[in-house]
Amino acid sequence: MESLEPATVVLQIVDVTLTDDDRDRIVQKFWDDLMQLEITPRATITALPQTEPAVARWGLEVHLAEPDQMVTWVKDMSERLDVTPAEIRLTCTIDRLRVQTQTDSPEQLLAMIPALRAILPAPQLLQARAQLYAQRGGEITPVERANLELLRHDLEFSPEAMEAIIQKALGPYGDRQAKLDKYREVLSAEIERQPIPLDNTTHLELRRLYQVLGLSQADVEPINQEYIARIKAEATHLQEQEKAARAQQETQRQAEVTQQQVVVRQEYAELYRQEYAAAIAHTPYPTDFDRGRLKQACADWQLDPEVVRAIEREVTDQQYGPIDSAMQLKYHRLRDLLWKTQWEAADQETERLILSAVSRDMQPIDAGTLAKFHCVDLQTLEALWSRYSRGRFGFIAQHRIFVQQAVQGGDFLAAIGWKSALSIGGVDVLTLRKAYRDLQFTLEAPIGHLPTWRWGATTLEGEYALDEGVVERIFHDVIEKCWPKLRSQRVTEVREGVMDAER
Amino acid sequence: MLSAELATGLTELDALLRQEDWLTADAVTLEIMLNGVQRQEVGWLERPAIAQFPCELLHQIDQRWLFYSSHRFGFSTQLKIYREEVDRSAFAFSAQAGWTLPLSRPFRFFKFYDRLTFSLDAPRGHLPALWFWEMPWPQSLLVGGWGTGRGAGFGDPGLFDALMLRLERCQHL
Repeated sequence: MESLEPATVVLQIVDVTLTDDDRDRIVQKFWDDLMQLEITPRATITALPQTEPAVARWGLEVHLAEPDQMVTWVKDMSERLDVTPAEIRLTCTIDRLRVQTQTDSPEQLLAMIPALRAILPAPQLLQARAQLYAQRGGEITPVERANLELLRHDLEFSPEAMEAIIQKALGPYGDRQAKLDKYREVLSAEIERQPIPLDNTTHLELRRLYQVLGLSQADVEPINQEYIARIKAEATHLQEQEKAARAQQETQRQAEVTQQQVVVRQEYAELYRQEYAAAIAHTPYPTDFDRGRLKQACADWQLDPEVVRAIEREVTDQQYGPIDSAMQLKYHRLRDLLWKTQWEAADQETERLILSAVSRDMQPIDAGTLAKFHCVDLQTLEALWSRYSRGRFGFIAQHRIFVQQAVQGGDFLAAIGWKSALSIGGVDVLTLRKAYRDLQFTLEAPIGHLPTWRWGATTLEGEYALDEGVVERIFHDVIEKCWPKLRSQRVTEVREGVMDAER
Repeated sequence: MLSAELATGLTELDALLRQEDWLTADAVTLEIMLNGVQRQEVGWLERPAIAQFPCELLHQIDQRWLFYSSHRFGFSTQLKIYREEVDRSAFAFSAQAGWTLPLSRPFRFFKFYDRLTFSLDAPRGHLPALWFWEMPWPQSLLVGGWGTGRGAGFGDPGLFDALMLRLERCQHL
């Protein structure tokens, strides 16, 4: 910016007719009036002392920072002169140019204005004013432009030249918005360039930037806030992402821990399985010692009671035979009795199971009712009986004898030992059905001897055994229904037997 | 649920047992039992009927005998002896319960019904007995009697066992 020389205006009261006091009063009046002028704050006024006692030259010296204000000044003093007549000498100096007039006529004082304008440095004035405006708000407002226009007119300056001055004053960024945009752009670039927060040097440079652009702290604050908010939002977003990532990691870790726990539990469950299997290897009833040990293991390994029960059930089933039921029947007691080889009690228990499942009021049943006994349960009975008798007892053993006798034309009831025969010379002359008490509840009994069919008996005395018709129905309708393979075996064997007999 | 008729019979049995009128109580017991299996016309019990005898009724009768005789009489007492003391032998039971003539060994003739003991002095399991004694004369002849019920006959282990078996099965309910 080009510096502007201040203007100096010297006002002197030169009226010789006035007394010293009057001059003093008039100077004082000018002083007061000048002090009231709006432009005064930008001027410095000093009272001129009487330098030469012979010639009274009372007056004021005024320094104006804005030389063009001389014109306003002169107009003002012309009015003052109109009110307070006095001969004055006014000397206006700019740089090295001087205009002087001595008069007591307000009109003559006004007449010096064109001369004053002639010495005013027009480009500098306009430039100074334009720069002042541009500095104030970053742009030239309409009212500012109007004032500039008036000033130009006063100074008789060309519009094109003034436009050039305004453009220069505004700098490369024409209006306020462009400056704000520039500031925003620079700020944005700085934020992109370096980590947040911005360092002190950058802050200082940014301040210099907006000052040079003619913007104030208040102007750029919204932009700063905008960026701070954006940065905060980004930071929050990053934090959230990080948090989410941490949460995911935590979840994964938990899952791994859980997985590990599952593995550990499975290992303990496996150990318990082995322990329990060892404890019941020779007896379904673990010793008190083993029982205590197993209980302790459950507690130590924190095994779920449900899991423990399932394991014990599974291991027991493995070692002592499964006891599945489709009719909610409990075969534990039967299994125990068979394991203890208490054949008679086991036989009674078998009857109890069958009757409680299919009989009404525990009445004895016939083959038709027995057919309602579920195959799963019939197979469980068969499996338990044959398991503990090594295939000697059970429905399949009985079926085998039944087929054998059918082929040989023998008596099934006699073959399985439910009838006693009195034979002479190898020929049965008399067969009697045995009472239940006369049956053989040992492993030495004939194949198929047990389980008995007491579930069909009204009494276990005398007429215990059933007639042949019932026998056939039991095998055809019940046993072979649950083991279809037995039917085809029987049909084949009987046919071959007949053919053998014919041959 | 028991019918009103059976309930009345049981109430009557209650009263008789409370008065310790064992003889009449035994007769009423048979009446109730025949009523329970619709054999009032037939007048006696046989194995198929016993095998299907309603468990609830059997239990009701049994409980009353047990209660008023302090377990000296009643089907459960008979079953206990039969199962635990005589190895399920009806003959052995009859001897122990005082149903047979003590001097009749080896034949073990049954006493005539009116020679049974109708007091708490009777052996354990002595009563109820009429359900076992009552039979028509052809049946009586068949078991060696004189056509006047079980008396003087050789006994019928099947029938006695049938009731014991029935009671056993009912106990599983």
